[in-house]
Amino acid sequence: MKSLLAILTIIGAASVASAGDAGCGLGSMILKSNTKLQQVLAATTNGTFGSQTFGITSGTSNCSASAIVMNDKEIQYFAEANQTDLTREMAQGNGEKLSTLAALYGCNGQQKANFAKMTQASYNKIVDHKNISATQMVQNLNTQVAASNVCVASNN
Amino acid sequence: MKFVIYFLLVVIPSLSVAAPSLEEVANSQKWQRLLHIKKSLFGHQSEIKDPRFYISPEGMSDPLKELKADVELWTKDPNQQCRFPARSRYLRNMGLVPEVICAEREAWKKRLGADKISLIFASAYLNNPASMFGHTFLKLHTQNNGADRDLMNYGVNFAASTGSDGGIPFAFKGLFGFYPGNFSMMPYHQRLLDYSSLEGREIWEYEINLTPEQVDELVEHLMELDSIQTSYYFFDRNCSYQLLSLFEVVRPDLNLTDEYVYHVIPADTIQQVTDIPGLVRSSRYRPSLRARFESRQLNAPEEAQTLALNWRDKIEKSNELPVAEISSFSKADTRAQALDILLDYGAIRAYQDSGSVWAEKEFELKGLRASSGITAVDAPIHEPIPVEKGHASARIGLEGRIGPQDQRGLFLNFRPAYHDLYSSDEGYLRGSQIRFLELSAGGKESSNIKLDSFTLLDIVSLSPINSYFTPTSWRLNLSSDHLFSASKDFYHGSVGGGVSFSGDKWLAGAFLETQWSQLEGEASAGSLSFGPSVIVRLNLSHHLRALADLKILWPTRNDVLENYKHFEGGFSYSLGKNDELRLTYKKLLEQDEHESIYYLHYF
Repeated sequence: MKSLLAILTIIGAASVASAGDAGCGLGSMILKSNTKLQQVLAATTNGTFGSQTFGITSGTSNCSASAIVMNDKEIQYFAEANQTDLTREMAQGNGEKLSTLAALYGCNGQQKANFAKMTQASYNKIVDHKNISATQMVQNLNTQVAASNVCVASNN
Repeated sequence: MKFVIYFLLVVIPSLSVAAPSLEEVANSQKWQRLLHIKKSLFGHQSEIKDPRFYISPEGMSDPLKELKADVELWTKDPNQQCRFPARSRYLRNMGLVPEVICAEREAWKKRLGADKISLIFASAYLNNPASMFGHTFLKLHTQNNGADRDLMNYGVNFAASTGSDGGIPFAFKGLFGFYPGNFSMMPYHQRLLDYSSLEGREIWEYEINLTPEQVDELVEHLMELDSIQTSYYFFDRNCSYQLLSLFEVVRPDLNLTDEYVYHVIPADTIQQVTDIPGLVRSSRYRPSLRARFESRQLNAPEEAQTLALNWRDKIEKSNELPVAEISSFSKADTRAQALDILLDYGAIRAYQDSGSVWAEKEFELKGLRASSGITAVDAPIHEPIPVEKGHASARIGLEGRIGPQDQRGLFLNFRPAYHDLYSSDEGYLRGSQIRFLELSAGGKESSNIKLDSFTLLDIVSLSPINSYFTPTSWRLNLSSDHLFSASKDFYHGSVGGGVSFSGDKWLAGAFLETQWSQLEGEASAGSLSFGPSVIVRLNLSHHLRALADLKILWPTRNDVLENYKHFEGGFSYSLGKNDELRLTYKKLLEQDEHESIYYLHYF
């Protein structure tokens, strides 16, 4: 079971890493929508559009070293790649990506459900303005996770 | 006794100490597979067409020269082995090159920590039957990633770099190998976005039975294929083929790629690996966002369904959110359920069109949902029948034409791919048909074998409308049929668009079609006709289906083909996964009709 110290370490690392920087730089790699033609082409040929990197060990983000995401950048990377789905699941208080995010913060078992509920209850503090950047969203999340102690074991 | 001991201690070890000759190693299955060599008429040709994959300038076509060059270089400079970890490991095991420690490689492998590999199949849900063929890629599981960190594993994909090409150049280059393909790796969650960004691909994961050492070796082989480019051919040397050749490197007992001659259909490779006993340890289904949305919508209480539709209509008509109405709706549960439906629907719409109101109002809508404070429930997931449970892709059959009297005869029917609407659609996209290169030949007497019909391409896409989506259905057909009455072949190409509807046990589509037709031997350039067509498909029981397809066209000028009517219909009965009986009636134009019984076998 994670101690409060361990959680703060995770958050601390994530905050230091993301404070003031441009995040992982995944923006251009993540497709937000497709033109009709892209849809048809991608479906028929499995050509990937926009996110094809050029090898096994050559990651193209600020958060990976040789294509492997750095431990202290996991949260930032995941949030950036999955921001749309994550905000939806936070609003709903439930979802697989949200559960994964909880695990990244060190939550176990039932704590993950509590994490999900917390993100819903604090939604407007986490996603506090339209078109919020993933970096900003993670910083807000860090604040809320620290304030709520949600991934800390009580008496297990 | 002394002699026996002498024999065991001296003679036998000395017999086994002799290192294999270079020729033996160059011809070994392992070496050939590491170099991706396929024996052909031209000798030993490697399928990796990138010169950077070889140390010898003739390495691509001469495995012995490559071996000699590798041994020479790596004996002189052992650290060069680190560029080819799997290949050099094999040579170290053969005692042909010195030991070496590749610290950087080992460190990278350790960080990846792969202990299991799954083959991932992405099918399609969308209004695009061509994507029925699916796509396959790999998931590398990092040790200690539990179920809640599954998305943090890594996906490895072989794909073509197609740039911004489209249309004809895209098709041409892809078919004839003008695009380079290479392997790439990225987090699994990000890989999935590529496929779920169309919000329609169902995912199945198949964990492959590999030892940790085999996984390690496969990763090493991927490292030596890092940024190596080889021609990507849509039909045969495609994503799925390349993955199979990876497994062949680490599993000498498997022969996966030999059976594919002209084409590799991703779904076929899944059928193949699941057919091999013990090769797949387990499988898992991941629903697409579209599937989750449909399940949520269909299983929600009626009041929530109605409310969601109501709000959906208001939002799309006004391009505004009725915020006051939504927040003041009294029943919190129902409001939350309706918003959950709309959030899923809105996500799909936003992906399809980033300018839509659903993208515009996403922030507000999510805020409204969050303030309800009710935790969304996971909608029950209904797993579709997986691809390996469906019929195989190629088909051969016998047609017994039973009437009319003067047309009786036996016909052979062959089709390399893929699926038609008569068949059971288990494992296939409901309402989709692709017939490719279907050929039928035969006749009354064995001395009089004729081509009866040839279909270059016949695609039908029945995409039923529902209260949320109104997709277009369409069909396309390029064929030639032999007209018994005129003793001529009748060529036709048609394309049509329309709409489809469905119920539990039926599908129906109505189209408006344009057709070009020509009779064999006619001097003119053919004629153009227009008119409607209707297809109806019924599931009469688990094994029995009925299909009817009627087309009535009017020509733009009076000629032989006045008042064109085409009807085909019949029953299909599944004897098993890969065997089918059919009874059909066909009427071409006014004059030609026949009834037939078919026995069809898929393989």
